[in-house]
Amino acid sequence: MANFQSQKWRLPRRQFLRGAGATLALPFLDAMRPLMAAGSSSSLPVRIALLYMPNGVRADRWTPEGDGSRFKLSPILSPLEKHREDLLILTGLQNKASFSGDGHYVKTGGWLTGTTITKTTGSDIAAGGISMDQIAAQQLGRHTKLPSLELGTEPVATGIDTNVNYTRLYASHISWKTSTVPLPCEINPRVAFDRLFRTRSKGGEKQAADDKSVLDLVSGDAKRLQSRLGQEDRHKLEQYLESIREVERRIEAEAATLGAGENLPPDLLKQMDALDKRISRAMGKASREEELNSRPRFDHGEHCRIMMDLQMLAFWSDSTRVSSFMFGNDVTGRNFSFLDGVNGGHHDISHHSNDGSKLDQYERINRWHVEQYAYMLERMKEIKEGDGNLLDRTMVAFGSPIRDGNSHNPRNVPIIVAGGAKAGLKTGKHLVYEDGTPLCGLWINMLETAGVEARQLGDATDGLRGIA
Amino acid sequence: MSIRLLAALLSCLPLVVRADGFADVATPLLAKYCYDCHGEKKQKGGIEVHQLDSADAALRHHRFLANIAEQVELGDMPPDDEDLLPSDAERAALVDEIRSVLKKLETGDFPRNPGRTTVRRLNRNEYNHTVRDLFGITFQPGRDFPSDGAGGEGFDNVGDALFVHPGLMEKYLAASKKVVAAIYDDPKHLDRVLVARPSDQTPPDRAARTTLLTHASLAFRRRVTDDDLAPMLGLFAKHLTAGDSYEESMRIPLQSLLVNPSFLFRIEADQEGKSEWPVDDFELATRLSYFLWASMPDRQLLRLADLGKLSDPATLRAEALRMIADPRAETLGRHFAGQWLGFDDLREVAEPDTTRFPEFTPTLRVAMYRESVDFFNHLIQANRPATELIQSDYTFANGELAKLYDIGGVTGPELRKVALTDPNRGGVIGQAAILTATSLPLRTSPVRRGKWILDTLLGTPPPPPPPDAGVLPPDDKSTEGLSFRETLEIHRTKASCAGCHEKIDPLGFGLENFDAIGRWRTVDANGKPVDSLATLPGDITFSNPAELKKLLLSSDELFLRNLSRKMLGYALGRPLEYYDEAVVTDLVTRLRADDLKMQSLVLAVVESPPFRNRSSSR
Repeated sequence: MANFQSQKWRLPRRQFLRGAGATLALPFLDAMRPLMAAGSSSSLPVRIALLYMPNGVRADRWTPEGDGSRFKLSPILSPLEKHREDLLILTGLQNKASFSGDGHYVKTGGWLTGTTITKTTGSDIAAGGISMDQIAAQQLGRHTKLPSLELGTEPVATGIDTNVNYTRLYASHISWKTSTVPLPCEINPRVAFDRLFRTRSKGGEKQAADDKSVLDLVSGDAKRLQSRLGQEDRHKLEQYLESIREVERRIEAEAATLGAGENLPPDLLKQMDALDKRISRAMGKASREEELNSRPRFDHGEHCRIMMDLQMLAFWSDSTRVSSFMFGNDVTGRNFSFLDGVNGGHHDISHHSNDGSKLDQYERINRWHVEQYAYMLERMKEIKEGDGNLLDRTMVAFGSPIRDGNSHNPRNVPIIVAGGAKAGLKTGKHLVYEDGTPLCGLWINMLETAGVEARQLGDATDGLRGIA
Repeated sequence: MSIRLLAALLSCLPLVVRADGFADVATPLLAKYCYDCHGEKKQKGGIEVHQLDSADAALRHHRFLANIAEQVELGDMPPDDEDLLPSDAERAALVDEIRSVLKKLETGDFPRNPGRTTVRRLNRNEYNHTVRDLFGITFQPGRDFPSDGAGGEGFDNVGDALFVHPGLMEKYLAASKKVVAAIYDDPKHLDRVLVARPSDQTPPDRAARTTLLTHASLAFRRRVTDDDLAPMLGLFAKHLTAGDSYEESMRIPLQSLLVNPSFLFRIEADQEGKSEWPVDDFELATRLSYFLWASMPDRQLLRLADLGKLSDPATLRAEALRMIADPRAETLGRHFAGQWLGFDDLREVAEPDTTRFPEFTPTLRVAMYRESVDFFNHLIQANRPATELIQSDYTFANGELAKLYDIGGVTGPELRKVALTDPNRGGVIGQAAILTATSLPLRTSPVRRGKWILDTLLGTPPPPPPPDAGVLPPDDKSTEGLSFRETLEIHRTKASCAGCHEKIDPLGFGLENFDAIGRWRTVDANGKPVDSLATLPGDITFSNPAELKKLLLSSDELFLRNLSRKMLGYALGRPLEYYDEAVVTDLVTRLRADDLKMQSLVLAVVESPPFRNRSSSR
């Protein structure tokens, strides 16, 4: 039965991906180049990806030896040897606003905002600012099907941490659309894939018109309601209305690209098809419907790598130019016993109390994360784009908002940016900054390199020297 | 100084200004001895006391107070190595002032306020239940929605912590399409939904109006207006004019109901010029149904609301009892108790190492979860005393779980009520779901179990550990010849840790005979005998779960108060404020007056002022 079902849906699905009706967002096609100034690749899009690693790092095994272009990668960073020319490893950065408040939440919540989250068990949840990926999405998102993509592997943490009086919600969000609207991560790769690549086929125009009718109707109702409500309630309805406006923009963007599906490069289609199958294989369900509706519970490494491939394909097809990915929620207790030499949960091990065996396990977990990062860089470099590869115009940051997880130390945070060399980043270096240099400076560099105006972010008013 | 005075005056505004012993006596002492570490500049351990500048401010920040009083009284704070330490008289004065504020809290000696709930979006569970009851859909169209974070008392139904973002809006749209497609795919189903069809006597617009009026009233949980119907009827007419059939023309208006803000949000109207008012009957029906069913009101509730009868005390009580007896009330066990007691973690979060514990199969995971759900719901359905949460002589098990518990004579996959002869097992403390959720992948955690008892069960969370306190090895297969407990004892000798751990750990030690998936054991992972002897401060000793439970039952006030507080928080869907503490006191009184029976607590919550009223201010 299971086989029969999976055969049944796979066949038309492949046809769909290759068929006449496929309506993927218009990617930046090599075929379209002739329309532009010959040989110029300056109008290729620049993208930003932010990869978040929970629970900090083993501090004495993170920082490379030496600086400038002559550096020796540390044990944790050794998996990146192959990519050293693409790296900018930064030492000495911090997010000052995360110093107040104990524990993890204030660091995670403010990683990309540079602000201090409100200490609350729920009545006034706020990050204090917009996260840098969402600042980018506001400006870059106009060009793509999705303004941004938020991916993760773990569901939103529930409950209140009564020890420190924060809602655990803060541990599960790094992307903040506004100061008071956190964006949850999509953790189901099938849902994420379909959202990106499997949209309307036949009858697309009618579908789009229907969707728009529904949205028009309910937004009118929301506006009527809103006028009768108190302030907090009005604010919730405003979120609703803003969401409607954004979905409407997306539908319009899709309608505009209808019929352009045949232009997808065969390589991209092939990779999409491969990822499509890989997701099914990893999830091990009987049908696509089951995949859509299940809590993903499979090999963590494969889960992470699929999420990275999704970002890679989303960039390649120009479905979005901004992504964030959480390897896990902060304070995650994920059991890393699947790694050789590791026996226990991530958060537990990160509180190593300088015990030799635990430090060793902590390091192994850190290195595993770096290996996954290296995988994503590798994949992006395989894709040709313009006169280089996909990574050349994509800045992929990787890091954690705390350094030593044992003491929750927020100074000198571990952070790397890879790629973006053809967008203007001067990669291939280990840069050592004066202690206390704002991490937000780096975010400004990345935003400006992507053509996003960013004068001030958190405690930074300027980018860091030596980066772009 | 003048700024602080101004702030104090402002925060006093809602209360009657009067002589304030707290501001005169306690605040100067706090300023002198505590502000350096717990003031505006520094908040060691996340604790700050500089806001405590009046009795009113102290009421608002009441959650810290009991802890502060205790630490000051026991001499834990300020720490001994401080240069400046309060005299015994000063300690006593500060503790007295704090306790008098706490007393006020319990007795309700301040102007009462029913509070104000922020508009609540249906959470993922509520969405699924509501669509099921609205359109008879059995699949869960909202299963791929992101899970919702928690606020307030730790539940995922708090308006402030429920957001809408574009990704969710796309999912609402997709889910609404799926639901309508399912209805349209089944002619019989569609027939039930289209309650009116055009005929010789009934023109199409009239039939559409009847159908949409029915479903909109149910979906919006109130009387709808012409303003509500007009856009839907407009769309219907447009399609009909374009040549679509009646059925086809109804599709999008019906679909729009499931994306409509009046469906997705539980909206309560304000009443101009009033500071507080009873919620209207429809709002009351909605509060009631989402509290007891996590779903929409049924037709009977809506009919009573329409007649204006639901707010009648006898009717309200009768309806609450009817709803408790309905199978839909099982959401109290799943969502309320699951999130409160933490066994909800069994569904997705708990991750025992399956190499170490091969018995922990997916089916055992489900059985553990169901045991806790069924047990809690039985307490409500059978109107059992609340203290059975702590000790009972029965539980619910299927074959696989009974085998884990070493109970004979139970076979098959279905859970059923099972008598317990071992007094160590009964009550939630002996339930595998909770014992597993409070363990780590490879070992038990006496600290987490101890903290669970203090925080989750009794509502008295210990303060956070200092960040570099250090933790124990993740695996209890120790290499240094020490038993796990011996390792923990060494950790506890650190002065900065001992103060709290001597209160936390013994509670967990007493449960050491339960392994990390809740199985009884007499030797630990290293083959050493389990040492479950526990001594709490004050030389209170016990050596097994049965004795621990006896101790907990010997003074049940904290537990009953916490249970009442949690249920009130879940029912109201907002963080509890200081003024709710007096309501909690009333709930406990009602519970005690009726032999601690669970239904009396549910009824007391339903009949409490904050459940039936709404205020213009928080």
